[in-house]
Amino acid sequence: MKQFFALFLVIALTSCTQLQSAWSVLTSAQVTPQVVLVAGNTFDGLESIATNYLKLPKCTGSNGPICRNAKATAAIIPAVRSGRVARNNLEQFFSDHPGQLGPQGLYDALQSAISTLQSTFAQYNVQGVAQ
Amino acid sequence: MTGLVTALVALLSQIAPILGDASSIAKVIETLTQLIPVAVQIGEDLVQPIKNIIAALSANSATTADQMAQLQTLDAQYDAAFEAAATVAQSQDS
Repeated sequence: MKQFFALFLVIALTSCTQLQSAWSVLTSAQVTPQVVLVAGNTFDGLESIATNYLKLPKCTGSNGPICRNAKATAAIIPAVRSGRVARNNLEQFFSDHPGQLGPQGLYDALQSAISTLQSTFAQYNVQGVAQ
Repeated sequence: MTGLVTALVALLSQIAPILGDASSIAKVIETLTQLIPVAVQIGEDLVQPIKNIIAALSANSATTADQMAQLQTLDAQYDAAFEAAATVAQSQDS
Protein backbone atom coordinates (compact mmCIF):
# COMPACT_ATOMS: atom_id res chain seq x y z
CA MET A 1 0.00 0.00 0.00
CA LYS A 2 2.84 2.33 0.95
CA GLN A 3 4.58 1.56 -2.34
CA PHE A 4 1.39 2.36 -4.28
CA PHE A 5 1.04 5.66 -2.42
CA ALA A 6 4.69 6.54 -3.12
CA LEU A 7 4.21 5.76 -6.82
CA PHE A 8 1.08 7.93 -6.88
CA LEU A 9 3.02 10.74 -5.21
CA VAL A 10 5.83 10.54 -7.78
CA ILE A 11 3.37 10.63 -10.68
CA ALA A 12 1.45 13.53 -9.12
CA LEU A 13 4.63 15.55 -8.52
CA THR A 14 5.88 14.87 -12.05
CA SER A 15 2.58 16.05 -13.50
CA CYS A 16 2.73 19.14 -11.34
CA THR A 17 6.23 19.94 -12.61
CA GLN A 18 5.13 19.48 -16.22
CA LEU A 19 2.12 21.69 -15.58
CA GLN A 20 4.31 24.37 -14.09
CA SER A 21 6.64 24.13 -17.06
CA ALA A 22 3.75 24.44 -19.52
CA TRP A 23 2.36 27.39 -17.57
CA SER A 24 5.77 29.04 -17.62
CA VAL A 25 5.97 28.68 -21.40
CA LEU A 26 2.49 30.12 -21.82
CA THR A 27 3.05 33.12 -19.57
CA SER A 28 6.48 33.99 -20.95
CA ALA A 29 5.53 33.62 -24.62
CA GLN A 30 7.57 35.97 -26.78
CA VAL A 31 7.22 37.74 -30.10
CA THR A 32 9.56 38.34 -33.02
CA PRO A 33 10.82 41.80 -34.02
CA GLN A 34 9.03 41.38 -37.36
CA VAL A 35 5.52 41.12 -35.91
CA VAL A 36 6.28 43.99 -33.56
CA LEU A 37 7.44 46.09 -36.52
CA VAL A 38 4.18 45.44 -38.37
CA ALA A 39 2.12 46.29 -35.29
CA GLY A 40 4.21 49.40 -34.68
CA ASN A 41 3.68 50.60 -38.23
CA THR A 42 -0.06 49.99 -37.93
CA PHE A 43 -0.15 51.93 -34.68
CA ASP A 44 1.81 54.85 -36.18
CA GLY A 45 -0.73 55.14 -39.00
CA LEU A 46 -3.65 55.03 -36.59
CA GLU A 47 -2.02 57.65 -34.38
CA SER A 48 -1.71 59.96 -37.37
CA ILE A 49 -5.41 59.50 -38.22
CA ALA A 50 -6.27 60.14 -34.55
CA THR A 51 -4.23 63.35 -34.53
CA ASN A 52 -6.08 64.79 -37.50
CA TYR A 53 -9.44 63.63 -36.13
CA LEU A 54 -8.81 65.42 -32.83
CA LYS A 55 -8.11 68.63 -34.75
CA LEU A 56 -11.66 68.68 -36.11
CA PRO A 57 -14.18 71.02 -34.45
CA LYS A 58 -16.21 69.41 -31.69
CA CYS A 59 -19.62 68.14 -32.81
CA THR A 60 -22.39 70.39 -31.57
CA GLY A 61 -25.34 68.71 -33.22
CA SER A 62 -25.59 71.32 -35.93
CA ASN A 63 -22.07 71.50 -37.37
CA GLY A 64 -21.81 67.93 -38.75
CA PRO A 65 -21.03 65.71 -40.47
CA ILE A 66 -17.33 66.59 -40.38
CA CYS A 67 -16.74 67.09 -36.69
CA ARG A 68 -15.19 65.40 -33.67
CA ASN A 69 -17.36 63.28 -31.39
CA ALA A 70 -16.57 63.72 -27.69
CA LYS A 71 -17.20 60.03 -26.93
CA ALA A 72 -14.84 58.98 -29.71
CA THR A 73 -12.28 61.46 -28.40
CA ALA A 74 -12.56 59.96 -24.91
CA ALA A 75 -11.85 56.49 -26.32
CA ILE A 76 -9.08 57.54 -28.72
CA ILE A 77 -6.82 59.51 -26.38
CA PRO A 78 -6.12 56.80 -23.76
CA ALA A 79 -5.78 54.15 -26.48
CA VAL A 80 -3.11 56.16 -28.32
CA ARG A 81 -1.26 56.92 -25.10
CA SER A 82 -1.20 53.31 -23.90
CA GLY A 83 -0.27 52.07 -27.37
CA ARG A 84 2.57 54.57 -27.57
CA VAL A 85 4.00 53.39 -24.24
CA ALA A 86 3.87 49.76 -25.41
CA ARG A 87 5.39 50.62 -28.82
CA ASN A 88 8.21 52.67 -27.27
CA ASN A 89 8.98 49.97 -24.70
CA LEU A 90 9.07 47.31 -27.39
CA GLU A 91 11.36 49.43 -29.58
CA GLN A 92 13.62 50.03 -26.59
CA PHE A 93 13.67 46.32 -25.80
CA PHE A 94 14.75 45.38 -29.33
CA SER A 95 17.33 48.16 -29.30
CA ASP A 96 18.76 46.86 -26.02
CA HIS A 97 18.46 43.16 -26.97
CA PRO A 98 19.18 42.79 -30.70
CA GLY A 99 18.30 39.38 -32.10
CA GLN A 100 16.15 38.38 -29.14
CA LEU A 101 12.41 37.81 -28.90
CA GLY A 102 10.27 40.52 -27.32
CA PRO A 103 7.90 40.33 -24.35
CA GLN A 104 4.41 39.11 -25.22
CA GLY A 105 2.75 41.36 -22.63
CA LEU A 106 3.91 44.58 -24.30
CA TYR A 107 2.89 43.26 -27.71
CA ASP A 108 -0.56 42.40 -26.36
CA ALA A 109 -0.87 45.92 -24.95
CA LEU A 110 0.04 47.37 -28.36
CA GLN A 111 -2.45 45.11 -30.12
CA SER A 112 -5.13 46.05 -27.61
CA ALA A 113 -4.59 49.74 -28.36
CA ILE A 114 -4.73 49.03 -32.11
CA SER A 115 -8.00 47.10 -31.70
CA THR A 116 -9.55 49.89 -29.64
CA LEU A 117 -8.56 52.51 -32.20
CA GLN A 118 -9.77 50.44 -35.15
CA SER A 119 -13.13 49.68 -33.54
CA THR A 120 -13.57 53.31 -32.44
CA PHE A 121 -12.75 54.57 -35.94
CA ALA A 122 -15.24 52.08 -37.40
CA GLN A 123 -17.96 52.99 -34.89
CA TYR A 124 -17.63 56.74 -35.48
CA ASN A 125 -16.84 56.45 -39.19
CA VAL A 126 -13.38 57.97 -38.83
CA GLN A 127 -11.39 57.48 -42.00
CA GLY A 128 -8.05 58.95 -43.05
CA VAL A 129 -8.80 62.46 -41.86
CA ALA A 130 -7.00 64.95 -44.07
CA GLN A 131 -7.26 68.70 -43.72
CA MET B 1 0.68 70.33 -52.32
CA THR B 2 0.15 66.73 -51.23
CA GLY B 3 1.73 65.46 -54.46
CA LEU B 4 4.76 67.68 -53.99
CA VAL B 5 5.29 66.54 -50.39
CA THR B 6 4.82 62.89 -51.37
CA ALA B 7 7.39 63.25 -54.17
CA LEU B 8 9.84 64.90 -51.81
CA VAL B 9 9.42 62.13 -49.25
CA ALA B 10 9.97 59.54 -51.97
CA LEU B 11 13.16 61.30 -53.06
CA LEU B 12 14.49 61.50 -49.51
CA SER B 13 13.67 57.81 -49.03
CA GLN B 14 15.92 57.00 -51.98
CA ILE B 15 18.90 59.08 -50.93
CA ALA B 16 18.82 58.68 -47.12
CA PRO B 17 20.53 55.25 -47.06
CA ILE B 18 23.33 56.26 -49.43
CA LEU B 19 24.41 59.59 -47.97
CA GLY B 20 28.07 59.46 -47.01
CA ASP B 21 28.82 62.67 -45.16
CA ALA B 22 27.43 64.58 -42.21
CA SER B 23 26.78 67.80 -44.12
CA SER B 24 24.45 66.02 -46.58
CA ILE B 25 22.68 64.33 -43.69
CA ALA B 26 22.28 67.72 -42.00
CA LYS B 27 20.52 69.03 -45.11
CA VAL B 28 18.11 66.08 -45.12
CA ILE B 29 17.39 66.60 -41.41
CA GLU B 30 16.73 70.28 -42.10
CA THR B 31 14.31 69.32 -44.87
CA LEU B 32 12.57 66.79 -42.65
CA THR B 33 12.19 69.38 -39.92
CA GLN B 34 10.21 71.57 -42.30
CA LEU B 35 8.42 68.67 -43.92
CA ILE B 36 7.01 66.80 -40.93
CA PRO B 37 4.53 69.47 -39.73
CA VAL B 38 3.04 69.48 -43.24
CA ALA B 39 3.10 65.68 -43.48
CA VAL B 40 1.26 65.36 -40.16
CA GLN B 41 -1.64 67.33 -41.65
CA ILE B 42 -1.66 65.31 -44.86
CA GLY B 43 -2.31 62.08 -42.98
CA GLU B 44 -1.19 58.57 -42.27
CA ASP B 45 0.15 57.70 -45.74
CA LEU B 46 3.38 59.59 -45.15
CA VAL B 47 4.00 58.42 -41.59
CA GLN B 48 5.84 55.25 -42.46
CA PRO B 49 7.97 56.60 -45.30
CA ILE B 50 9.15 59.44 -43.07
CA LYS B 51 9.85 57.10 -40.16
CA ASN B 52 11.80 54.91 -42.58
CA ILE B 53 13.91 57.91 -43.65
CA ILE B 54 14.62 58.66 -39.99
CA ALA B 55 15.55 55.02 -39.39
CA ALA B 56 17.82 54.96 -42.46
CA LEU B 57 19.62 58.11 -41.33
CA SER B 58 19.91 56.73 -37.78
CA ALA B 59 21.56 53.61 -39.16
CA ASN B 60 23.90 55.62 -41.39
CA SER B 61 27.48 55.49 -40.07
CA ALA B 62 28.10 59.07 -41.22
CA THR B 63 25.42 60.44 -38.86
CA THR B 64 26.93 62.32 -35.92
CA ALA B 65 25.76 62.07 -32.28
CA ASP B 66 24.13 65.51 -32.47
CA GLN B 67 22.31 64.50 -35.63
CA MET B 68 21.17 61.30 -33.95
CA ALA B 69 19.60 63.38 -31.18
CA GLN B 70 17.90 65.58 -33.80
CA LEU B 71 16.52 62.47 -35.51
CA GLN B 72 15.10 61.18 -32.23
CA THR B 73 13.36 64.52 -31.76
CA LEU B 74 11.95 64.32 -35.28
CA ASP B 75 10.77 60.75 -34.66
CA ALA B 76 8.81 61.97 -31.63
CA GLN B 77 7.07 64.76 -33.58
CA TYR B 78 4.09 62.60 -34.52
CA ASP B 79 3.59 61.82 -30.82
CA ALA B 80 3.99 65.50 -29.97
CA ALA B 81 1.45 66.50 -32.63
CA PHE B 82 -1.05 64.02 -31.18
CA GLU B 83 -0.53 65.33 -27.65
CA ALA B 84 -1.03 68.93 -28.80
CA ALA B 85 -4.31 67.98 -30.54
CA ALA B 86 -5.41 65.87 -27.54
CA THR B 87 -4.81 68.73 -25.12
CA VAL B 88 -6.96 71.12 -27.17
CA ALA B 89 -9.72 68.51 -27.66
CA GLN B 90 -9.85 67.64 -23.97
CA SER B 91 -10.08 71.29 -23.00
CA GLN B 92 -12.98 71.73 -25.42
CA ASP B 93 -14.77 68.66 -24.05
CA SER B 94 -14.35 69.42 -20.34
